[in-house]
Amino acid sequence: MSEAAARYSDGRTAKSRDVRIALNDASLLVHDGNETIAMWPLAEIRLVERPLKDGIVRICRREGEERLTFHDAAFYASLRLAAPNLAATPYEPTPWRTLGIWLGTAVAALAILFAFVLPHFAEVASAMLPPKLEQRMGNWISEGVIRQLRVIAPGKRPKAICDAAAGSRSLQSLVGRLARHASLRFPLHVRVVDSSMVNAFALPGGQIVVLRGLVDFAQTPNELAGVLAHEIAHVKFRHPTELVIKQSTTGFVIGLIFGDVIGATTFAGMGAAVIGATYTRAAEADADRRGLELLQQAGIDGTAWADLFDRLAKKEEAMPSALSLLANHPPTPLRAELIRKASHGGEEALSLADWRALKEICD
Amino acid sequence: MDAKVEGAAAAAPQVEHVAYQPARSLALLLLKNYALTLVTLGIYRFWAKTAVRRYFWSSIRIADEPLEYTGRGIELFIGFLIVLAVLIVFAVLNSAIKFLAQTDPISAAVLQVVYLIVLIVLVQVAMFRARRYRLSRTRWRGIRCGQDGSTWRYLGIFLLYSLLGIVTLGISTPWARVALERYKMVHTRFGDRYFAFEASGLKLLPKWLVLYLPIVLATALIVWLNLDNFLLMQKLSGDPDAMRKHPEAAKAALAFLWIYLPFAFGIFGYVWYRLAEFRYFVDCSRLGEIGFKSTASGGVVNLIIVANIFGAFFVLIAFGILIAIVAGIFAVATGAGGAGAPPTPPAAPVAAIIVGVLVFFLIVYPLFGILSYLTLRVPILKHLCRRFTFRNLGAADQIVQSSAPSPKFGEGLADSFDFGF
Repeated sequence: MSEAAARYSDGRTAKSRDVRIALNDASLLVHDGNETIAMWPLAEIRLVERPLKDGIVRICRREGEERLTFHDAAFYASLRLAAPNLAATPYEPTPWRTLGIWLGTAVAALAILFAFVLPHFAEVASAMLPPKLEQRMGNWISEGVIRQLRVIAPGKRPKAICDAAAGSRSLQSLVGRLARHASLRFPLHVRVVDSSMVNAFALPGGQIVVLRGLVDFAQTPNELAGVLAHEIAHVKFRHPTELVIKQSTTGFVIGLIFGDVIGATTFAGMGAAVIGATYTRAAEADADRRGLELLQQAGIDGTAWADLFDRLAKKEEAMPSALSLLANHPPTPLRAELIRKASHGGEEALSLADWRALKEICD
Repeated sequence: MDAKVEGAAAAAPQVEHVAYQPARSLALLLLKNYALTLVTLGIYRFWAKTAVRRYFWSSIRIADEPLEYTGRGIELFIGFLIVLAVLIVFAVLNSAIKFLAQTDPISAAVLQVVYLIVLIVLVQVAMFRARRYRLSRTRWRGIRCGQDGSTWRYLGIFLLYSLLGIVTLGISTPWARVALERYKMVHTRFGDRYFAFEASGLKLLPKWLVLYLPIVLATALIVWLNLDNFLLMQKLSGDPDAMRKHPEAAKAALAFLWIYLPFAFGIFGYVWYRLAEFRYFVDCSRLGEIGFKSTASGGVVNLIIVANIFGAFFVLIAFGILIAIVAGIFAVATGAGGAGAPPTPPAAPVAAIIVGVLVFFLIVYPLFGILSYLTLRVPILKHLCRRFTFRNLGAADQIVQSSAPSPKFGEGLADSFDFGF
């Protein structure tokens, strides 16, 4: 029978005494020289922790407060053979019920936050944001977005902004014509950025970024006018502002859950959020409807806009790109159909000369 | 400095040392924690923290018997879930400030102050509660530690002394430190026995002034010498193009950096003060007839910190060289660069930047975390342990296990403010 020297604390006082420990068939016996002072059933013996580097072994009874500490490697070897649950947890069982309750509560709270609170908060916050502030926010965001774009989908020239004089004039006149009836809170600031992406997006504070890829892809001025009207409608409804507020808060909450102390997720998420801006279906429908109205009020035919969608869908079929207009605006044939149906006809948005100038804005 | 008359405890008191005896390989434990935290997208951090604590508790031996940490990762996790709601409010507030800071510095500044005050208050609550949890999961010879007392009372003391600190421009800090430590200590127990704490702020004042006065005077001097520059900065603040438009603005901004100098040196002074305070607080604490003493030295801790600063510096330089080499190989391999530099950013440097960022966040940053344990925290902890002694530890034999209830779940708030271990 194996036996060893050990130190024993009875769990009632902070006294520690030298004892002998021994194993029999059913239990571990603690003997203080005169008598057996404790008897631990083998099945109840647990390791307090894995043996320490210098050979100290600490054991206890399941959920018990007594402690035994010994050094003897031979005794430990025989204890491992004798005690069946030695490596099991010494604590009370995992509180699955409590965990479940709180996990459920937390998930529900997050779901409510993301589904109801944040959208509403973003709406209220963006409505309360003074125009001046929103403009400054837009400037700040557009800097970052343009820089990111140029890395993801580089253009042809070292300069980011396309501003050939004649092209800029026609762009401004087109924008002015479309925005005349939009009654915006602040002047629009539309720029063409030299990037190969076929896309355009609205940013907070009346900023609209049109990418060279879209200017190249558009075959008629009306195609471009449709996209511009749609983006102006987004600006009107302050969708980009809402989105940015929503996205940045979301990033922070996600960072919180995953323990992101450096805030990298928030930071990286913000730029990506605007590029890959996914508005709700309702927001897109609103922008489509208002965009069409703007086109009609300006006397521009909206049918071409639907054509652009159809051609883009074909191009996407041949060579899908995650960075195109369709990727963030769901390409429903229904959408093109709705636009086509609602269009009453109208004139060309730009004269041929102006359109040529606009096509060459990046040269 | 701490010349104490050893006559009081005349009858040759029994002195026990605290030993630091590494329980197992810390480096391996930290690597495992890192890998699992990464794989679980951070959720493992509660279990990681628990494992690290268990390691340290098991490595600290009093009278040859290690401490025992009985906390569990799942308790911390549930604690975190419980305070998630509070944190979400903070998330919203924080993002609001981040935006305002870019667009409206004045509202952002006001909000920032409110945010900071709420944060400081919450940190106090969190630390007090975290201490209660940690103590309740700490055993020695099977006997539990514990802490009671009211979090709100503690917060009241904190706010009262913070107000006093504002009125006295920080001179009253030692009294605040003593008051808060006293509240914590007299509500701390081992088994059924509560600690006693008899310290006075006045005794700490000279040491505090040695830290406080040079920083205040040096800062005042720097502000006075650079007053023109600061006024210029004030005038130009908010104009992003200021640097380009006014060449003297750059000089002013550079002068502005001097203001950080006293604080940089102040770090060492602060460590020195905290160690002096620690020794004093240890000396003033008693557990029944058991007394404590620490001879830990601020100089030694500062030396460890300096060594780490140099070490980190060299690691960063090595990392920079490595990135440069990788970028170079990329550039050569893809034939980018050369005489006719392409007008748009070529793919190779972009890839190198992405690789660099990934390497930094996935390898270098966690590596620093691991190294900070191995070369900073452990050496300091070792020093603190080895210079710590107990008087009359035999009196512990009379201390009885307490039946007072322990908190059920973990630290919640404290996790989110990340106080280390």
